[in-house]
Amino acid sequence: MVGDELSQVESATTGSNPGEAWSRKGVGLELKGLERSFGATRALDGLTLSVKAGELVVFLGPSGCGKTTALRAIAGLEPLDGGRIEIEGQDISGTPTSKREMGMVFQAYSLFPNMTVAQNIAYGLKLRKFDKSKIDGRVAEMLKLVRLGEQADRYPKQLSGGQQQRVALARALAISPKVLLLDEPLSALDAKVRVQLREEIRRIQLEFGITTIFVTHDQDEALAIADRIAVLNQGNIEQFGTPDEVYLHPASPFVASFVGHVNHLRGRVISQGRASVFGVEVSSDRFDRYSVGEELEVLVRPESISISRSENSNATVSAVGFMGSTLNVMAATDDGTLVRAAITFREGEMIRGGDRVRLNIEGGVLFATVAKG
Amino acid sequence: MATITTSLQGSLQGSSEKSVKAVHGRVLGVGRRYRTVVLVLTALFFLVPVVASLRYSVVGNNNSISFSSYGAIFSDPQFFSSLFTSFKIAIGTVAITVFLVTPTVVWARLRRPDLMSALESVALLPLIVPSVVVTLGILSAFASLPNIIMGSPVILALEYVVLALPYTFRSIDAGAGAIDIRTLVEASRSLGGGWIATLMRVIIPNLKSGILSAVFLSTAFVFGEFAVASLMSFSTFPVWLVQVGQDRASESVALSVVALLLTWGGLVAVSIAGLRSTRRRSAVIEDELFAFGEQL
Repeated sequence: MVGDELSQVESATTGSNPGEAWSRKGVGLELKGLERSFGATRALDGLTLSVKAGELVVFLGPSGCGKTTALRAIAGLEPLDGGRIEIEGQDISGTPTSKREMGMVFQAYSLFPNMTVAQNIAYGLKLRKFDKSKIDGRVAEMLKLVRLGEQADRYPKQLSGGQQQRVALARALAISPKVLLLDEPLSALDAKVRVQLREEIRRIQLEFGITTIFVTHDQDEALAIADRIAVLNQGNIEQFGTPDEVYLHPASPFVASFVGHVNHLRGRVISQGRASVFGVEVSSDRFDRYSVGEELEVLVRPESISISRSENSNATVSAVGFMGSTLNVMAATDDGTLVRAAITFREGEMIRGGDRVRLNIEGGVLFATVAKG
Repeated sequence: MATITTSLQGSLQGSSEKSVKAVHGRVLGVGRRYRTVVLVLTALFFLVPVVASLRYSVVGNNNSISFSSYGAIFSDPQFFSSLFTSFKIAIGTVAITVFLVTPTVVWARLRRPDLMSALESVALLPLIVPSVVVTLGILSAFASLPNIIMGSPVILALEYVVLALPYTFRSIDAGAGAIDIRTLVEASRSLGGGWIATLMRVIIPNLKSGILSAVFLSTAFVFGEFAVASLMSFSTFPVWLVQVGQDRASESVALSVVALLLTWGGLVAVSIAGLRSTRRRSAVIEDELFAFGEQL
């Protein structure tokens, strides 16, 4: 799947491929039992992960889950209390940041304000003592790559936020790093620019075939850009898988709630593998291990809820969000539960606030746990 | 209802157009006329003493114009020797201040942000403790140092570093606060920059305005400080200026004018140098410094 995308991008770009000249083919990255504590808080609690060569892995999680700490540890900006980081099979845990050959893009404002765009991109190359002609050539290529050739002599403060981040990306890639590290690079940008730039990052990443770690707390961003997503929680990995795996088969209720929307509903087991949820009978193997009469919390995706107009209605629509091809419906069931449903919209079948409808659970149950309280 | 809304909107638009026009002439509700008055008064406040001094200094016998007091100053050997002494002290003070305060501020902001408020209050202490106390304190603290320091203006430079600290620390710290030092350092490190390259190419160039104003402030401090220098009986420029003022009135005014021009010229020179180096020389100097750093 990744290969297909790659060849598409390559055929789309005309002329020379800027990555070709000096890109190393991506390298594998191994994180083995990373540990890091801040006082009593364990920011990394034995985090272990294997990133394949040329892969884009997203670290996704709420704030404080350790995703940024993990990224900074890979860059060498955060010391580790334990564990190893390996690149191409070599332990780099003791290597200082400046020798790690990692390209890093920060949240914002990381360009050197005293240097022009071109000087910023040339910085890492100058430190490597390249010839002036070689530096100029590479800077020009990088500027072309991020489409900022016109801005070469501008200073960072004369650029928009999105342009600044593109320069930061060009600067990080100019040194042809082994691994590209992106620390919430889009979080300070407007929604529209954010989507444009994430597509641009993905295009460039595939073009270079560079192993990339992308940190974000935005699940849409993660699902859109990743080859694989590592969902982090409390310093460890809850699930590591492709976007569809993580979305369709979340490994834990935490992942289910964090990636995509989910309804937390009350249910009661009525027979083996069957439960009643807001008066609707649902079958699922998720109920198998609970005994009859037990109260459960049942996690259901909005798109697993169906809405129909039938005689025996069980809910009243409270709000409808029109999203073009889908409708986001909030409905209150007769027993007082608020349910969120996402349904495909067909013209002439508009649902409006106040409508009486029949809700069913048809798409399956993600999780069922014993209800608290 | 609709008519009310439109007429309301109409009047709102009308008034906002008017107010936009008015705003061009009125900043913060202050009219142009009022601003002119304030500007003229402020200019007068600063210019009248200068012009009066100039005029007084060039009045000779019988109200004729004479530059004799200027001649007297420049022919006085004390003029150049005291100026030279103060100049040396200023260079020493500036050098020690910049090389001590800049790395301290950068280090504290980077590694120990919790120490910043403590550092700031320590830096403010010279404003609270009387300068005579600071002087005596430094004298007793450095009493064991050899005579080449204790008996020479070097000790004054050490004194002035401490006494000017409230101003120099704040201006360098303000410069450091205006940039995101941590991110800039991390960006430079990740691109392969060692500590020296990061300091020379990224931190110091971006702290330039803060460092420059620290340079201005400590220079001005040295050329204006009388009490401590006089107490320790060094013949600095301000000390000599006071001596002249006590027995030769018109010469002392001429001297003030000269001092004013010297300071002003100095400031202009430093700021031009600062600006130019940003544009042209910085690349060359940084490359040299960098090569030097690599050799270390």
